[in-house]
Amino acid sequence: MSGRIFTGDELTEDRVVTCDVCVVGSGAGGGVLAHELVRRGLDVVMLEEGGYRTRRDFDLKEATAYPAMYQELANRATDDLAISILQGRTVGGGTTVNWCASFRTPPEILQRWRDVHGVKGLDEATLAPHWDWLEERLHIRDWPIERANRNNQLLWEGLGKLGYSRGTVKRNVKACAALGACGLGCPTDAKQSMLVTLIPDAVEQGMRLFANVSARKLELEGMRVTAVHADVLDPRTDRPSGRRLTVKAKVTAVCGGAINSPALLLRSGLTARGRVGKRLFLHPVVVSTGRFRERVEAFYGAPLTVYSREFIDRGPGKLGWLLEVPPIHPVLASVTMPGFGAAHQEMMEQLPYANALISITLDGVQPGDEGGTVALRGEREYSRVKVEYPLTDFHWEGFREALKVSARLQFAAGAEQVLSPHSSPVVMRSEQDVGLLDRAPYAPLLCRVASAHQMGGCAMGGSAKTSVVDSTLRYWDADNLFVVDGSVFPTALGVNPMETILGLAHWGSQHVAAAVGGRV
Amino acid sequence: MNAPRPAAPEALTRRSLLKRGLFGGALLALGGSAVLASRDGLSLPLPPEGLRVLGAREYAALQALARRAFPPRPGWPDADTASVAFTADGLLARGDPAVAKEVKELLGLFDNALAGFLFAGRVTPFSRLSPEAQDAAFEDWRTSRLMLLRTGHHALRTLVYSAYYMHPATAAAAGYLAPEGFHDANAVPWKGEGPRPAPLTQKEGSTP
Ligand SMILES: Cc1cc2nc3c(=O)[nH]c(=O)nc-3n(C[C@H](O)[C@H](O)[C@H](O)COP(=O)(O)OP(=O)(O)OC[C@H]3O[C@@H](n4cnc5c(N)ncnc54)[C@H](O)[C@@H]3O)c2cc1C
Ligand code: SF4
Repeated sequence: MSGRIFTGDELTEDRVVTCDVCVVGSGAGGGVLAHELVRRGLDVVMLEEGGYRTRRDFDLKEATAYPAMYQELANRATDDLAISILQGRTVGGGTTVNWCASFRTPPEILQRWRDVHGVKGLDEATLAPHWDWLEERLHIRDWPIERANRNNQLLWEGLGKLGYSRGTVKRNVKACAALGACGLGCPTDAKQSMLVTLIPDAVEQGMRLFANVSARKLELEGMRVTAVHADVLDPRTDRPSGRRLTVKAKVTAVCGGAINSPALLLRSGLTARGRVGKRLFLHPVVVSTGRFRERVEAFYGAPLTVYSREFIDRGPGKLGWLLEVPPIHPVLASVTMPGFGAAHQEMMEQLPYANALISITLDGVQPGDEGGTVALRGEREYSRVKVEYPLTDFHWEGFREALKVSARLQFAAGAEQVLSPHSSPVVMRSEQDVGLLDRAPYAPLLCRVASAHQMGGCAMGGSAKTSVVDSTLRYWDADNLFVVDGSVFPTALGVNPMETILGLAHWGSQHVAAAVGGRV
Repeated sequence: MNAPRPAAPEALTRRSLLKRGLFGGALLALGGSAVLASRDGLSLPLPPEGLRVLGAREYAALQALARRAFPPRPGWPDADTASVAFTADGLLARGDPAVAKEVKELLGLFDNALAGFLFAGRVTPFSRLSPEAQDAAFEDWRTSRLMLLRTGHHALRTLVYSAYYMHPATAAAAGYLAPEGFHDANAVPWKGEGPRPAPLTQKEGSTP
């Protein structure tokens, strides 16, 4: 039986559909889960509040991509605006717009989940066959250093010169033309995102996917979810069209990603005794911008292919970080780069000579580091959530040290100037200037922080007192409700999260399937 | 043809944010009140296409800020050529209505003579200050001890930058030309009816 993808404009009247499993969200978690359920012969309905954008829409322009495929038009941020948040909102979720870096979960993180958070049965050996399958299907392969763009090579060279550990990154691509547009949607379908792999596979096998449909509320009777109530959105305006879609499923899986999954539970009155929305982790990032004599053109070429975990573990009480480089397209660069007026214009004119180095900090693993929270802004507003993430001295110390390391790496790689992410940037012309970073202000909005990795908010754990879902991803207080996405992480990872989420969903699908009625 | 609907500023203001800070509620009232503003701000001809969210005064205040952000520079469109405030209006119309409302309030506060007086002892609206005084006034917001004003600075700055860099000429001036020959505007999206199109193969072999 062939399924079908429906878009908001096709849903011209209220509808009620029934199925075995309703999967809310079509990203890394939802895409894999739905595929695995359909493969087992289950009837799956998937809801996605973003649109159905395909390579026809991917014109390699930021002006098209951000409003269409990112949460809050790429404008999501913490409540105080101190941390800007990039997050996907389209069929395929983050996998459609992400930068393809693929890492298995670091073993020490899985051990921490077991030892500190009481997660059972989730170790490297258990996950290995799931990752093997995914790596094969999604063509996850090493991207050798010879194929790295100049932006990545500079990081590689800087790491080599300073004697730090370094590695190349695996990518989920097939026949990749190295255009560098991954964040804007891949125009050649080379990126093996959910959009072009497991979602079409699942549709072919019978799944119904409704795009432009936003799940608003889960209806519960006792310990069971009886319906998912969703608003149909007009694809042209992204506003509710007034039509409703109601899904009556035997089992519901919430896969809206960190931030939106906890928000959906909260809207439904599900708080897990105050745990829903807690332990939100963002991998907070600070960016160091180097200017080189040569053209770097960090907007072209496979975006993220070199990394270093040299500083991931700085000892107890210290925030560690992962080093990588992002692609730098003009709109993102313009809002990220400091300064105003002519000074900012000069920087933008030099964009082809810029290399950006990001320090992705590992949150949630140090004592007392509870991350942020997700809450609701009020019933009236249909899309907005309230994200808070207090940045403390603990974070600022880590950011400051990370910026020092970045500047040294960039000078080692030949930078003639390095700028800090302060709203009035520290301008360094040689390694001797790195000490200036000690005197800069470290406070919200005076030093810019960003996030492209959202995790947590519906933490998995060993006890209903401390977590939202159990070790089978089932919501502790409901029989037929699961959460299958990055929001179940009890901590952040210290590597890019996609492959962990894919693996968790592949593994977790057995539990969701079993809940339908014995089919594993 | 409509102008492209670019990304919204990455960080707009929030209602709760306007209520925060030392003078919170009073500031919000200032921003919202045209009467208190007492002095006229700059007035600019409105775009022929009309505005969807911003009022004439908010539009002029934002464009005044954009003119300071993007002074004339060879090879680059200036703020008026790039229609920054008009593009920003399109962005706000596309986003959450609650955000648009808050940005309007923020712009009201920004160009409000009484607010200017309370913060900086000046009674001229931002949009009528000299260019140097405008730079100084905006810089004051960046470094203010009031979180509210720092956040406002950030929100307005992000709004004008994202609107300006949405313009095709600015991306090119910054060195980014979208690679040609890869995007197929006629590709048919498969929705499950009929056989799935075969994967693209023309670049096969380019991946290791
Ligand atoms: C620019 C960018 C670059 C990145 N680069 C990398 C990288 O290189 N490597 C890596 O590992 N990770 C990367 N990430 C992160 C990675 O993409 C995400 O961690 C991952 O996609 C999260 O998976 P998820 O299933 O938790 O949620 P998502 O993939 O975000 O999917 C959730 C989906 O659910 C939808 N949804 C939410 N709420 C509802 C609702 N109520 N009703 C209907 N639908 C809803 C959302 O619109 C979204 O499409 C990047 C992210 C971004 C934004
Ligand atoms: S770098 Fe490869 S995967 Fe990314 S957009 Fe270009 S062709 Fe697609």
